[in-house]
Amino acid sequence: MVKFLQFTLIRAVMSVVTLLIVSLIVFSLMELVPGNCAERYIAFKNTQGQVITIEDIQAEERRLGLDKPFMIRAGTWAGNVFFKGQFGDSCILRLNINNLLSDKVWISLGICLAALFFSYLIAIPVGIYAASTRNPLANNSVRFISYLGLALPSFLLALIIMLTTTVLFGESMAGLFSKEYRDAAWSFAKFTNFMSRAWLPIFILGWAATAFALQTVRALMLDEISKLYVTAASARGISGRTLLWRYPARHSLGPVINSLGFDLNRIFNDLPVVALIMTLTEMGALLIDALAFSNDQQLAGAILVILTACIVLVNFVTDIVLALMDPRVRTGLMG
Amino acid sequence: MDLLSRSKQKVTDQSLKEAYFTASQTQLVRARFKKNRAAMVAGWVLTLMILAGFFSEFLSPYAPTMAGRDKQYENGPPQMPKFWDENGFSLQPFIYGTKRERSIKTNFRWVITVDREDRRYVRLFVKGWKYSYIDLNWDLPGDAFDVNFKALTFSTHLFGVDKGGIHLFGTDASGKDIYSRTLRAIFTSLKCGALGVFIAFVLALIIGGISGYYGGWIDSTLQMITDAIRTVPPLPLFMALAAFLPQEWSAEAVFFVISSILGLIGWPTLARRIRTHLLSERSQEYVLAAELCGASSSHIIRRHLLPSFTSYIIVDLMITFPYMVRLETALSFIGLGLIDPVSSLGSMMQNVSKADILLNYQWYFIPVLFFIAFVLAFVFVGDGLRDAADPYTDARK
Amino acid sequence: MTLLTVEKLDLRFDTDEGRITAVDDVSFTLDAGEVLGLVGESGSGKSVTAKSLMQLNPSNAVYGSGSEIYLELERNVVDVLSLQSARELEIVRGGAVSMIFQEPMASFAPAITIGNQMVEQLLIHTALSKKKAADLSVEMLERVGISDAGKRFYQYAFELSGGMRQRAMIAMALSTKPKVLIADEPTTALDVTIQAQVLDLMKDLVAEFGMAILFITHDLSVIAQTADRVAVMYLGRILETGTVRQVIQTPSHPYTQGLLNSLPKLAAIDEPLTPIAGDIPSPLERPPGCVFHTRCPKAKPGVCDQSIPDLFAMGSGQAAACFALTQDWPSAN
Repeated sequence: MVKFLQFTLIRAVMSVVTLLIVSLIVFSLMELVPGNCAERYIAFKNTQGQVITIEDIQAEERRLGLDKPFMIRAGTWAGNVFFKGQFGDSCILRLNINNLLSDKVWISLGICLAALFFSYLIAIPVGIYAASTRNPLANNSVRFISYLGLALPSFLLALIIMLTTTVLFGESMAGLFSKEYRDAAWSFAKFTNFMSRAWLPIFILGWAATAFALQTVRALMLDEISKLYVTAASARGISGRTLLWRYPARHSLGPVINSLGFDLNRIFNDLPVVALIMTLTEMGALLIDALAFSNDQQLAGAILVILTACIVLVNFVTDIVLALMDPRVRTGLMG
Repeated sequence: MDLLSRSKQKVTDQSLKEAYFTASQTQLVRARFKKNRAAMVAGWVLTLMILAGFFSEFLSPYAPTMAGRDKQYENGPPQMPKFWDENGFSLQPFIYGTKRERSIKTNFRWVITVDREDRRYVRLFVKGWKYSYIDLNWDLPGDAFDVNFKALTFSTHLFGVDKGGIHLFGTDASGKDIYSRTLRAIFTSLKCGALGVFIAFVLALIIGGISGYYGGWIDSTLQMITDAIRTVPPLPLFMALAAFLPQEWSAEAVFFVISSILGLIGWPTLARRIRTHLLSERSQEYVLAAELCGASSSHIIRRHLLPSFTSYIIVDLMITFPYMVRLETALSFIGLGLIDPVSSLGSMMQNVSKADILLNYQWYFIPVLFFIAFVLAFVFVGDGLRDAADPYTDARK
Repeated sequence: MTLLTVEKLDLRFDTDEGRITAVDDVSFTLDAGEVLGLVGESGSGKSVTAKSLMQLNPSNAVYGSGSEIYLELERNVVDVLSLQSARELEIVRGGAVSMIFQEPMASFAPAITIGNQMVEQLLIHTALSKKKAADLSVEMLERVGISDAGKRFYQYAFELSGGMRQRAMIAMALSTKPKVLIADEPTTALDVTIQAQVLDLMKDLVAEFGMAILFITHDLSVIAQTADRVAVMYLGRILETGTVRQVIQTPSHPYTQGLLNSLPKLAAIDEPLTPIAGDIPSPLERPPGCVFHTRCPKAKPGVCDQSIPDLFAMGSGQAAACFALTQDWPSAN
């Protein structure tokens, strides 16, 4: 048990280090944007009709701590993010980022995790079936679908679905809420409205992930099926579904769980573009907005860190689950 | 006589057998690849597309830029050459002349009408716009350093019509020929992907190589950094990097930087694979033997370890390629990558994002089909190569 | 009493390179209480032959139409090759026939405890309750000499030593009281000292349970230790059979002679080894006529590469498939 805590602690420390490296990278990227926050602030005041001098800019820089060396600023920023959960203000929108993102983060994460869940819900049984069957039709179609997942990226799929629904039904499936609920407070009606529309982004985001997961599950299953212990088990008279689920499927579950983090990464990858096409005003579309149209480095940085933190968290959890699942690691840790 | 032919038969049998056992890795891979029908078909499609990309200027009757626009045929539907119609048969394929009009009858939209009496004949090897296979045009800081060098300039094109224009895939809103642009876009995607893959590969080889060969704390540190970069979703990171490009940069500069970013983002996965492979290969006895003979690390890496997985690397690069193309396309699609004057599959797809297009100008979707076919062909070939190079690890991820 | 009869077993594999003959016209019988050694180099078809007894070969295996495998149980005779579904095959797989594999580590599922795997098999083949099955499993583990069996029952394969794993494998294989035990190179992966222990254990158990063993190995010295009768296989054919004594002391087939000559002898350390000339032909290049003629020192062109020799009985049970043993073989000229 002590060893297990030790293991968990080491994993946690490694996750934190990963996050620190990522936030350093993200912070450096933010610094690359021409012009700092003080200049922008002042430029904004300028448009309001105030006369601005160099001293004003410098005073503003001091106020924002921009006169300090790079590493200190990076440290302060990372410290605020990790210990206080504060991403600071966006100097383009002049709004607190935490307030700006608030429930949008949870909606986006909810949709992404739902997409991940459904893609595995489909991929695991279908992948196992495809690996265990000798039916060439089933095998080839699974192969083709997984290839199509790459060749028909989610943004194209989203686009095609959006255009067709608009043309066929005259009403676009865009957005997560109907007009009347968009700014309303959460209520049961708003929730059902949300559910009636959320399936489409979930399907689209899960599309590529399903294709990949399908390929992973099938490949891992094929690997396991060819192992001697499966032959040995069938030599003992174990057959059919019992053989399939208790032996190769049970043993390929570990690596499948291991790939969860990567698939979440894939879903996040597609999120901004899909969000843009479907005019989901959640996190993804904000990211594009922040980057493409306004160079809002604080907002972009915050979103990047949040996305990465989710993946790191999922990786951490899957690592622990894997350790508990694998008897080798488990007995090593628990004694 | 009979005896002679029989012994000859035996000799060829013998040499066939010999050939099988002494075949090089490359020959075996090729033989196995040829047996995979889907991969072979994909291979031919891919070859055709790559050739079409390389000879896009020769194959396109019009320049893919604004210079090649047809003002009289904006938003024009595709024109398919015909051999006969109600007015009789013609050995030479022809298309119809068109007229453009706008009136109260057409709701004040420009409407293109086809004049079936006006035949325009398709001609081969016509003279048209000029293009150069070597065209260096760098706008470097300082006028003295500007490079403007053109060579291998031609103006012959595979086909054209005697009067007016021919647009196999139709035209877009400004009258640019979609067929010519699609071919050009394939070339752009190839170029971009190749550059990205190359940069990613060099970085991966250096970082993965150091990590896998030396092991120990160097490996742990590098792995930590590699993993950290790998956790960041690539497209958002790519967007963040691409958004900082100054607006005033030339199309070539943007293209180059975008490709470089692709490489900068793409290396971790490759590096990890190279490292894993090196680590397992490094503990093999033959490396120990080389070390005992006093071979230096760089010698061992170059002469023993790298050759042990060249086929593996080639397959990996082949598989990475479509990912690069996809990233570039996604970025260009949202307007952060290559933009309109540059023909890329992504920038052309930008045009299809309106319902109006689906209702009225369906031919805008032709480049989308090409994109799907292009990526699909790459994936099939990549997977086919992987299976051929390593037949015992069927369809590993 | 004959337990097992294999008649004219033919088996081919459909592969990308074409049909590969793995077993060609193999016939043998196995009596209760008897140990039959199946000897051959790798690729000789000995494992494939053994797996055919339970139809364990991969799905691309094609059995020849004349092939027959009969298993005589107390109440009835089972025609193994006529069994279709996995459910029908249960009486053979793990019931009447059990198998031990070369690598005990790889033949246990890594993430299921040894006890669970044993109980699972017992529940399929016996009417025991879970509790009874667990008790029997622990008893079997004790019987094969595993100390602390009650604890081992709850452990995983990786927690046991190599010899211990193979003992556990034997315990599992014997727990359902099979009529025939197939041992596929059961000692190859073990240390020499442990090999002897495991072999002794197997011999004891045969005597105790009264079953037959089909013992597969490439190691003639192991065969000499364990088997009553031997069949020598090469490229899917049986080239010589007989009692252990006959085959080892008076080998009559050139291949058997070559095999015995190529063994290192402790008594003659300084003498050079005499390997069999040439290489095993690739399975795609199956020689016509006698399969061994490409490497045989006695081969005669026009005879050995033209037709396939039948097993020629030498009397007292020994038989060898070689033209040189027949009457019409021209004496040395």
